[in-house]
Amino acid sequence: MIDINSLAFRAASLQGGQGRTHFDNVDFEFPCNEIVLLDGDAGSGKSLLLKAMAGLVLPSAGGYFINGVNVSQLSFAGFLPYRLNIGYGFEHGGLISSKSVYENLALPLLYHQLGAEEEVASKVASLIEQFGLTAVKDLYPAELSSSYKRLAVVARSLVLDPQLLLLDHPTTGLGNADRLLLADLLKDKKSRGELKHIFIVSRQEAFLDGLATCRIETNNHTVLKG
Amino acid sequence: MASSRSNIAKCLYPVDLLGQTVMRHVYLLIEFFELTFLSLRSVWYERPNYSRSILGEVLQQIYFIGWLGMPIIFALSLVTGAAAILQAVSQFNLVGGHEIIGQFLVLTIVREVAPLLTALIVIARSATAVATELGNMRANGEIEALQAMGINPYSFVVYPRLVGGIISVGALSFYFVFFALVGGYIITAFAHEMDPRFYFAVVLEALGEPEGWFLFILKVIVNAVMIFSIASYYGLQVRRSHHEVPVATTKAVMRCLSYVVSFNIGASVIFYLVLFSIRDAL
Repeated sequence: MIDINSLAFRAASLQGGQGRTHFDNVDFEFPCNEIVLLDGDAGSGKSLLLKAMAGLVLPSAGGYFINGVNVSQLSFAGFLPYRLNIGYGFEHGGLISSKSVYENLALPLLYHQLGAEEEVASKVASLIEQFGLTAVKDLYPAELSSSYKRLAVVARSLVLDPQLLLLDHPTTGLGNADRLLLADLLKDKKSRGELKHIFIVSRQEAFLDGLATCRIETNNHTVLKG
Repeated sequence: MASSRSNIAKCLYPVDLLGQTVMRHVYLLIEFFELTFLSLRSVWYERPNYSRSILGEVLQQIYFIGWLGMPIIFALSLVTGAAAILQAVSQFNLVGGHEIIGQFLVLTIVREVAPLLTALIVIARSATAVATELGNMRANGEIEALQAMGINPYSFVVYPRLVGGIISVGALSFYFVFFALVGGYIITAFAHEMDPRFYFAVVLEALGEPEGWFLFILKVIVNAVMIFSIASYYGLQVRRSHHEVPVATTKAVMRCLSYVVSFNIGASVIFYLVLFSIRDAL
């Protein structure tokens, strides 16, 4: 894994679905070591921006730089050391439907052989407990309620102990107690230095209150404001 | 001048259309084999990461494609073998050619029927399943989630289906040959009076010819690669919506059927042309 110390777009253009350009020729240095709220109108490209930061969407022009390295030019294998330090919580599911909650959480650890089976089991069990997923750990995603699905998605994004966490609407469908649990958990991990940079797309004021330390706005589909 | 050009264009239109169709299929075939190549290459590059997760996926595919496909292959091979043996025995006995019964059965079953029927069953059972599963994975964002976790979908999703498919189709085809030749004889034993020692002697003698096995193995491997690369390709073509999944599955099945049948016919024709020319030369 490679430490992530800086994130920036240089002359980057990002296209969403159906080739629609959301960001054109953008230069932006992302604030680091913060809990950042990504704000903007619906359809202004917040999720697209998060996906680009995770390397899931490549700029159609310009580049995405981590630690000054243009990672958008790297192959899948070349980007892997960075990717393993990035956690991504999807807005719409993303849990592997043929695997149980436990298997979903254990998958990246087992695939990348990041620990013996016992270590993986204990790490996953600890995350499952932290997120209150113990009762549903053996269930498949189709059997879960939306709040459990959401919690499982966020839990999985943390399983590799990433420095950079990107959460796309992590609280949709969650009750107040779960929202507070998630906010406390993120604050706790940030204060202990387990997470360095957190970027969140959310419209839940109650969740963001006291959590976000910084704000970025995506506006007019073209500009990023710090 | 202009009208004569227009007439020539009209005359050449079918040729143009044929050329376009051929090129479309050539490009498609290149894309299917590119997918196969990329999945094999991804595993090669990630061989330090060739973890038990991938092996587990391969074994799971062997279970779904091979193990669960055995009952239908068993039934089909018995019926096909019995029908072929019954016809061969009754017809060849009429003309006194029962010495070549073994050769006829082996030629028919090993070289032609077993690879093709097995492939058709696998298309009906597993190509549909693979295209649907991968299509749903795309629509659910699971493929994107794998990428986000640093898991290459080529090595984790496509490779196990390809390798599991090749192993399963190979095993099912051998299984087909065995039960068609042995089970078929047992089923038809009451209807004819052929000495089992004679039957198995001529069949074993015919099975010893290596060129028949060459064609069998070639067909089995190419059929399996085509079926699972085509099914994976169309499954991964789904973008964001579940309504694209049945369309992708139908396309995958139709493409698998047309390519597998065409290849099996083409391979047999070329094989016999080459075999006859070698025999003539000798």
